[in-house]
Amino acid sequence: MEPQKINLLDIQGVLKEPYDLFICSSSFENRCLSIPNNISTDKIRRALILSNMDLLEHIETNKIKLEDRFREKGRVVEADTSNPLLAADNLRISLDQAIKDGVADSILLDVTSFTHESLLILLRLLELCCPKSKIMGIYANASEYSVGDEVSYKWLSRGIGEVRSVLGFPGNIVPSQKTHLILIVGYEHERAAGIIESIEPNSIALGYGRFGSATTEKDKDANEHYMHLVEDMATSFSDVNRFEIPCNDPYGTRDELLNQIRIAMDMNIIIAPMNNKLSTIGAAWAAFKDENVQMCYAQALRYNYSNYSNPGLQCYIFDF
Amino acid sequence: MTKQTYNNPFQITSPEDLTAEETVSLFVDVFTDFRKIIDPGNVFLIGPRGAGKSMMFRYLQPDCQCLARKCTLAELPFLGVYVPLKNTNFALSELRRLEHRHASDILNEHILVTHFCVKIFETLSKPELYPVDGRNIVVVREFYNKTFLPTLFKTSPDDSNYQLEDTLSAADIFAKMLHISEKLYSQAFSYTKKLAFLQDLIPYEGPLCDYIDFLIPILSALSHLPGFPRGSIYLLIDDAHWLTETQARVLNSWVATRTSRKVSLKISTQYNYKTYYTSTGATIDTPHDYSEIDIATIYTGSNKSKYRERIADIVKKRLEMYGIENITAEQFFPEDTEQENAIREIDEEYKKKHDKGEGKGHYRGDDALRYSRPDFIKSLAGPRKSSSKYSYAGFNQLVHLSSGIVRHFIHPAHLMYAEAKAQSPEALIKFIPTSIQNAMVREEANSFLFSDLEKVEKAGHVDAPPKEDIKKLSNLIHGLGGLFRQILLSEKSERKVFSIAFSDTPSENVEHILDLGIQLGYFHRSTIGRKDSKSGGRTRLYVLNRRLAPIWTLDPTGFAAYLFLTNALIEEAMEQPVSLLRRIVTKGIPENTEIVQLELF
Repeated sequence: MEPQKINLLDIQGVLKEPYDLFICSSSFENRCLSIPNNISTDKIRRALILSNMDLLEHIETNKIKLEDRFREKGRVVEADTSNPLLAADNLRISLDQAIKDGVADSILLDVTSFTHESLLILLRLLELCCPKSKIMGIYANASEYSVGDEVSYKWLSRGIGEVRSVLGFPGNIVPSQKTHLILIVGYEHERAAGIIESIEPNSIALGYGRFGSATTEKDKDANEHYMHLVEDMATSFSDVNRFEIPCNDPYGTRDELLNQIRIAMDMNIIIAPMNNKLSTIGAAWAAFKDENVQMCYAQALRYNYSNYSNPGLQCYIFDF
Repeated sequence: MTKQTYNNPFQITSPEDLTAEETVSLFVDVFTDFRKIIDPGNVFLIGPRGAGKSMMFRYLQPDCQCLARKCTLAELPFLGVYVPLKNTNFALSELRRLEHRHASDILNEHILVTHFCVKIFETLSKPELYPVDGRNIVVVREFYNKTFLPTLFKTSPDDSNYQLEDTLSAADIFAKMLHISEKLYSQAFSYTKKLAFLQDLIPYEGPLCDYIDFLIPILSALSHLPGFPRGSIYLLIDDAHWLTETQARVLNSWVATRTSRKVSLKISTQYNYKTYYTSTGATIDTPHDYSEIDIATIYTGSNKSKYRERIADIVKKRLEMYGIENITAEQFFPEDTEQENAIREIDEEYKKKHDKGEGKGHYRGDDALRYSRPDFIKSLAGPRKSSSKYSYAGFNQLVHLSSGIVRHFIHPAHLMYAEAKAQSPEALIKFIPTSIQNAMVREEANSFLFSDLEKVEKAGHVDAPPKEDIKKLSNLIHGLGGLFRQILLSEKSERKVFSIAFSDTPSENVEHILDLGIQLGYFHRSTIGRKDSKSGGRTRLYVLNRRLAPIWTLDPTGFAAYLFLTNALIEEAMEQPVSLLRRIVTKGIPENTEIVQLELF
């Protein structure tokens, strides 16, 4: 079942039921406001706003807007992009408190502007702490990334810092087995290349968005451009496969990744999700199905704070 | 799904994926340059990515050694066991939960020891390695029952899972030890995984293995088994920069135990090894605890000529393996004939001058070597302003440009071959056209300086070098490159300069930026005699990476000189390179600098 794609303005008509808990992330992207500004806050009992305090100078404006939007219902959950333990501990405390207060039976999760890492940590925590909650996911699209830049100059982040496993997705890495890296490629070719260079896997599977499945309204050409850049980088590896994922469909992405995992059985499998958040959710679901898979994340050194994206007009709604 | 296959003699393949036959065919013996690696003793082998560290370790493994030496396992002088640390488990986020807690060192040591055991028994469980012999099975069985299990469990476990079936071969028994080690390893990680979302530690109840009481007795007993080499066991520990600081401290503690008569730790790392402190807070020191080999320094120092031979051998072997036979490296990467003929003409003029007694050099060819190529480059920089027409083609120049790092030769060669093949898809490529060679090395130089440094310059993370440091480094590189260019175009008696040393004392700030340059690969570090000392003593020499030469159309070949300059000048280059260079162009090379001949090659 593919997610339902609707106009942002139609959200209230589609999400008619109230939700105990709304979870979102403040960001330097104005897109982080797309869903909060279009849902009815009357139907929300509590809102958790994850905020990376190390990026405060870039996110503060939108953080304040989100706090204003949810007023007394809002709770800021402090995180730090370089310290996954902080996000995990604070999210856990907030979820436990929500459960204790009886406001976690139904959850609306706006995945739009989390970092891939914090989203994955949150998904694992939801699985652990709220196994019985009814969870609905929602994702606001972008009309354009790296706004206004020519195709070959588009960029979302530059440089990579530490390459690390994602907390809660350690997998089962067996020293005597070879390593197979499944990289879901997006715009961030530098980060992708950095992960390949850092891990130096024995084999690589590069996953690209299937034609026509992009959630972004423009930029098909940019996707192709970055696909080629990653491929060029990977030429020094002799065993490179390509596969396609539907990036507008986490269920389809999960199934395609499970296929890829089956192909590479008997190897240590590491997945690095680097496309949109819908595909990252698909990757998390695949890792839930196969706990041997390790998820990995390359911390960006700098984001395109001022021109990362323009908010789109649509959103995707899907059931967990 | 599409499968890409690559057909390129300069394909970069992980040495781990090479068979013993392929490794022995491709390996060029470099151990005369790195003697300490094959002699007993602990060694840190330091070098950037692509310097050939893993290939050396692959060659030292017993399957390759038996093949290369045409001998049996027992006849080998040492047993090399490859222990790669390039394993994402070492950077497992869950391990951060243990940081700054008492248990951290102990559990990390256990994880390292069990990882090592897995790799040791994985090596030994290869059926073709250990000779099939009834006596061997008996002693391996005895080793398992009387050494391995008691050392691990302190008492022999009753569990039937640990009993050996009568039909097992020696390789099977080693495989059983591999599986037990793997189980211990994964047991430790199962515990670690439980810590993911817990702020308070839970007790660990599994066994704990350490280096002195577990790994050393196991390895010591192994080396006494019949059929095994009588010499030391070499643990070939690859990519130690992957370790966390805690794990590096644990490994350093092993180095400090000085057990190298039985077990030598050969540790390869890039420059970002986390620490040289041990778990107890002491440091490990050379030469007492270990020897240090910096590959980049060796191949950019007095062993440059050997490096050229090594690369020529590598090219020849790769071409032969690819079916391109009887072609030398010089033939495959031809020089630009027209350019080289023009330079030879200038050579002849210098030799004639020398014959007339007008030369500066001692020998007839000295001036030709020193000045011909710079003169030619200078002629291109004249009114025609066509410096960019200088061609960097030719095996010799490509070797110099690779600046002592094998991969910096192989990678551009890979791109050159791919481009040549793209231009002539059906042809058997027997040489790389000069235009392709020149274009690729220029592109690589630009990418190295501009794209690579830009990536770091855009940093905004707490662990990344401060942006202002990167700016200073970038300024310094541009300042020095421009200065070297002006020297090349000058009438100085030494015009090929790639290195600097200080005539006074460098400030902390300058040393810090130069260290950053070394870490990022833009400089190599060496030493030379002090300028101001009549009684000996040495000072640091900083060598600009020759990969950058095309950016300023510098001459990467031949004998280079070094430039003694002041700390103030370097400070100025770091802050205001443009005004410094403008002053040098208008007023000439600063008087308080001195160019000294460094080497001839």
